[in-house]
Amino acid sequence: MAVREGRSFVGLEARKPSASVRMLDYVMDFCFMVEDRLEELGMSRTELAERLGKKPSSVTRVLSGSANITLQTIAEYDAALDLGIILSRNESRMERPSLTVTATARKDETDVERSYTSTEG
Amino acid sequence: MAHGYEIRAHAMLGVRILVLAKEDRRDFLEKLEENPKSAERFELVCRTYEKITQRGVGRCVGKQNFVRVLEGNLGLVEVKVGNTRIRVMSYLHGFGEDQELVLMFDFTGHQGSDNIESSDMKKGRKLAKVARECMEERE
Repeated sequence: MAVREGRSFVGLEARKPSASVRMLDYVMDFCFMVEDRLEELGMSRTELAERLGKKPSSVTRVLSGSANITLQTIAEYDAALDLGIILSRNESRMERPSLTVTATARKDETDVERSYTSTEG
Repeated sequence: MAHGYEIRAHAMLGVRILVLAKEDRRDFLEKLEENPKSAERFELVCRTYEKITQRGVGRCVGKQNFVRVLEGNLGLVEVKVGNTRIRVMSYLHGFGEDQELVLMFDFTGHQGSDNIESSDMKKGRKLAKVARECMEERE
């Protein structure tokens, strides 16, 4: 048996996330959100790049977390993919804020409600 | 035990973080946690592991993704910690939906090129083989 129980990092759950941690959450949530939407639409990264009027390498850098994602970037991707992104504020300030996709924001779907909040589960 | 190593399963945020460690020695994650200067690095690594696990490791693996395959035959991968330069050399165990990530050690990636120091690669190859033995002993 080469696997044994380690520590419990319970303190982490109570810690208020720093700006860097929040940024990590935003970036990864955004990347996952775009990938999910591409899958739904059956669209490749190259096609997305064409729709955005950018090089495929630019999309790759964004979706691999390598690029500096700005609000401009988010707005452009939202417009291209109809992501329906809203910035919402958590009631609990200890919980991490999220970028949320809502069903009403999409024209072609009525039954999809997906949250990329990291606090669930 | 595989060469005096073991896999430690740390509990955090509802997930189990698997880390390769020398027996009776602190692993890299425990060292990061204990040092106030690296507390944020520790948290970033843990959050990334949590997010990748919740999404499904397999869905995050790719040449241009958060889990970059370095040497497929060894299961040697690099975990990119969000948009930072922090990287974690890791071993990817299993196939499909049952894939598990075993973290081995952290390092700082090269800005821009994503190149990895040859010494880190050498260490990674060696530890990936050990991690595989440990995971196979479990099964």
